[in-house]
Amino acid sequence: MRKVAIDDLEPGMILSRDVDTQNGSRILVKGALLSETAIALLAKRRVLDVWVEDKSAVPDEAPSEEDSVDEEEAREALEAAIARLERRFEGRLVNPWMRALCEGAKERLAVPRFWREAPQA
Amino acid sequence: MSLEKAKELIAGIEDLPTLPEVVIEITRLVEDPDATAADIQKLVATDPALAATMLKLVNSAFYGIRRSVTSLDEAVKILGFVTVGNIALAAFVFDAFVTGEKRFNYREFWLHCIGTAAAAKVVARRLQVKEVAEYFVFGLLHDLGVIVRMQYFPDEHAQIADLVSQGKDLAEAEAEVDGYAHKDLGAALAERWQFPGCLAAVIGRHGTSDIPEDCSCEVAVTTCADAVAEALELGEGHSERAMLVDEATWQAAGISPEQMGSIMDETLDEMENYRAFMNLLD
Repeated sequence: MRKVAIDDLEPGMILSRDVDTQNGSRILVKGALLSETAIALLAKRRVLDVWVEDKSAVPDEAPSEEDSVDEEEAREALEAAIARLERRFEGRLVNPWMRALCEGAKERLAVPRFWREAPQA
Repeated sequence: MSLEKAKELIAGIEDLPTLPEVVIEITRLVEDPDATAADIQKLVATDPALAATMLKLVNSAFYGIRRSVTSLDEAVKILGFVTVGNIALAAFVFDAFVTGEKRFNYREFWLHCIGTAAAAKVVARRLQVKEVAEYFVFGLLHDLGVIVRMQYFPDEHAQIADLVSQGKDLAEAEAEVDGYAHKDLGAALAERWQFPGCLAAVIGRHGTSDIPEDCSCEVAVTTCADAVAEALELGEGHSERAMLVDEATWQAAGISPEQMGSIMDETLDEMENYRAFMNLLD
């Protein structure tokens, strides 16, 4: 994984660590696929840099097996969620608003919902 | 007419909660031109449980103030009489119906209501309406009919839920099982409890493209908010398929497709303000 400055982020990169703001609220989670919207969101929240996956660079520490499993799971969950959304909107994309609603929802799937988090032990 | 059938059903419920005297008094008081904020405060103080729920709702409905609102006369000064009156109704409904039949997932349902309230507030703010917090209450109570059905007609509700999970549209499923829609049930109850004009309209007409002339903005905004909350999966919505909102309704709510993204971002942000309220659900 490597650290990338906000200005150098590109859609398609995948976060390798959670991104929190200064005061601790979580913006995006590990495994999130960065879209244009997600990058704009990070910029809006004044995030300066994030950790992204980079298979080509030599990692500072060898990624643990646990990390890769988590990333894999996160990606699968995201893909399943996208598929679910597309099924939901099948036959409903009949005007520009409905299309914007569907696309907007897809782009925001990786944004954490605090009410879905398991209670802290 | 399904509304007629719904009214009969409501009239037939024996143990339907009556609006407590204090809530009736509050709604009367807020219409009184001579009433003061202190009057409301004194009245609500007679029912501490109601006051507590109202304050939680108030603090959710109006974000952006530095410190939280701790007294109701303060709430009246900030939010206005009409909104505080609506909040009293919402608090009563919430307390009366928050948990019930074990079969149904109340938490997911209320999360959807809160999500709709959040989205409604966001859209109303952009429209610069006079009382934004009022739209919060519209979103929160728009599915009153569902609440009533879960509580008093649980078998029918379970049947409808089954059909919906099999892919039927909610409207179809309701027509098949009951012959009336949850909106009609809600409208009948809103009439029985004499909810103020636009709140009753929102409960009875949201989600349809049949927007009434009076309260057209209120109904359109709530319908769009419902769709946004559902798309963002803020709590479980009504069905497996997205609700279809037509061009005219989006336009009546003052929303353009280009704004959808930022409306969704603001709605997600808005949910952060409701942590305290969500604790009421646990």
